[in-house]
Order: sequence, then structure tokens, then C-alpha cells
Amino acid sequence: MPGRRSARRLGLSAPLVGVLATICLVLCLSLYALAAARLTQIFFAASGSVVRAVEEAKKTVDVAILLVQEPEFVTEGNKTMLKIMNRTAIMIKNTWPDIAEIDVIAVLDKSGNIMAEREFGGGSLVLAPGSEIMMYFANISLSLSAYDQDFWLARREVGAVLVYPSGGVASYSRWGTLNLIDLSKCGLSVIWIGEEPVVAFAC
Amino acid sequence: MGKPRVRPSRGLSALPVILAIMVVAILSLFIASAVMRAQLDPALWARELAAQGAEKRTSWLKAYVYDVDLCELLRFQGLVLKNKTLGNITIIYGRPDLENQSAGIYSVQLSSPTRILIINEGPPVEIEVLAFEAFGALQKELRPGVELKTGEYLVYLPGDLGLPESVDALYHGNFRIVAYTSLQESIEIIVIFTPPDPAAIVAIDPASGKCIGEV
Repeated sequence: MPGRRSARRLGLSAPLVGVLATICLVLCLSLYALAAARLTQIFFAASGSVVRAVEEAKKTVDVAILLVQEPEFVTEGNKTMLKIMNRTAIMIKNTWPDIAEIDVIAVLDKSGNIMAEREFGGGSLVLAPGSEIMMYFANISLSLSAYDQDFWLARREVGAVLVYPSGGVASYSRWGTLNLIDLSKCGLSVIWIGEEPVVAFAC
Repeated sequence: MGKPRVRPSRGLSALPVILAIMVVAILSLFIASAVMRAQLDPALWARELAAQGAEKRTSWLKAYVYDVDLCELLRFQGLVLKNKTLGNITIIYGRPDLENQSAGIYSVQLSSPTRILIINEGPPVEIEVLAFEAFGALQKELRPGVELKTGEYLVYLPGDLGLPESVDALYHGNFRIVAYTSLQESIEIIVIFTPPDPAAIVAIDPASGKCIGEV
């Protein structure tokens, strides 16, 4: 009868509600844990990006490991010839509009482990704004002096040079060439070799 | 016989219980996110300031678009240096058949297929997504998912990215690259339309002494 049906409350028995509520609770907690984990991940990632941006903004020195090509006459047997020696220098330039006092210079291998480091305490290495110095691996540690004579050996084995200025953040080195030839400044001219016109460089 | 008595059910209604649990869970998440946001906001503001300060500085991630053989460029550099010392060297372009080293004539072939090289000159960074844009539209999106240590690089051929091969076309097409890192930040990579310094890219095989280009 319709009257009887509407009078009956559409409730569920207590044990069934308990089971449903437990399932719901477990589902909610799982979703909650997933959401919380994602939230935490985003939080730490954002914090990391802040640290990175601040590091970049505070970068006070520009560090480069440079290929220094030097022509040298080498005598082999009774023959003397010109060889290009590929030596290495480390250039540190202060790009901050204030003096930069260098605290520590570390050399890292390809895996990021420290090969050698040297502390420059008591203001023994201070760079004026815009100034730069050239130094060598031997100035950091004598055990690294082989790299000064062979740039390509350094390229194979050294990961980076890290320079810690006082009050700033560490700067990683880049690789480069000292006095790199600017191709755009090389002129081209046509010369004759035998009967043929060829394009020759004038740098 | 009288009317049958309807006994009220002693069970609970499931809906309010479920709703209550969901409301509590969602509320607590909102509170947690609000707390984290409050902690992070000053730092994000600091990042904005830092980014403004860093605007004119060189970024750690750089991209080079070039069509020059870097090993030949390195060789060319050595030849120019030798010529400056001896003064009797002629460097000709792209004619190896006319090379005569005993007569001081050297040929270099500088041109090579166009490459796009992305190098990291800063702390290690994990690149999750690279978006290549040109001609005002997204051309390709890659998910390299690799960590670039200091000095490490990625090399792409424009053809593989659906881009024109010409450096000039890329330059005039406002070619840009945006990297999304594992730190959930997007970095507009500085694109340079000249070859990189060969010393930063190539390697010399210690056994043969031969130059090894981009790998």
C-alpha cells in the first residue's frame, strides 16, 4: 500500500552503513594522501625553483676554463716545426658591481665529486668590479697541474670548477677558448691557385 | 486484526556520513594548501625580484643554432694562429683537392648540416619538456627527461623537429625554445644564431688525436 511504503524510512541497517562508511573513508584517505603528496611535491619544487632563481640573480663571478692555443716551435730529430700547444687557463671575472672576495675554489670531476679545493682566506683573492684574473689548475692543487698543459685532458676528466665568493653563491665554470677567432671578422678574397680561382680567408 | 505497526529503522543514513567525510577531507586539503601557499608566497615574490635582477644576466641554459662544422672550426682556428706566427699560410675554402700543405695551402670545409644545440653552463638541471616555437606557433614538444650536468648538451636536427634547415629562416621565424625543468619552472632559453665555442663542445680522441664533434 502506498501509505505503508511512504511511512517506511529509507534507511540502511547500521552494519551496512558501517561497511560503506569504511570503504568511503579508505577511498577518501587514499585520495587525500595522493593529493597531499602532490601538494608537497609542488611545494618543494617551487621552493627549489626559487632557490635556483635567486642563485642565478646573485651570481657574482663568471668562471671559464679556457683553451689557450699557443704556437711553439718544436724540434723532433733534426726537424723543427711549429706546433699549436693546447694549454689551459681558468678565468674568473667579477660581474658584480662591487668587490668580490673569493673564499673557496673547488674542482669537480665528471660525476660531481670534488677532486681538489683551495681556500683563499683573509681576503687573499679579491676582485674589483669588472676585473678578471687568470689562474691555473696548479694554483688550486699541484696534483692537477697536468691539466694546465693539456686542455683536452681537462675536458675529458674535469666536470667543472666551482668558485664560492664571500656572501654570494657558487658559480660553475663554462668551457671556452681564449681569444676565439670571430669568423664574421674574417674577410674573403678570391685568389688563383694555378688556373683556378678559389676563395681564401683573410683573418 | 489491527493495522500493522511500522517500526522505524534503527539504521543510519549513509549519505550524510559519506558527505561529512568528504567535506572534512577536502577542507583539510584546502587548509594544508593555504598554509603551504602562505609559506611559499614570500619566496615566490623573492623569485620575481630575483628574476628581474637576473634579466640582463646570461642564463645558464643556452641554445646555439648553427651550420658550421665545429671540428673544422677548431682546425681553422689553429691554422689562423699558425699563419699569424709564420705568415706564409693560405687558407682556402672548401677545396680539399687543392690542398698542398708543403706549399702552405690548407683547405677547410666549414659548412655542415644545421644543428640546434642546448648546453647547460650552470648547476645540473633536469629538463622534462622542451617546447620549440617558430613562426608564432608551437612546432614540436619533446620530453627528454634528462639531467644535464654542467657543460653537457643536447643536439637536435631542425628536420627532426619539423623546422626549416636554414639558420636564417629560423632567425627570421622568431625561433624560441622554452624548457620546463623538474623544478616546475619554465625557462626561456637564450637562442644564439652563431656557432658555439668548439672548445666547449668537441672532444679530442686521446689515442688518435682526432676531433670528435657533437654526439
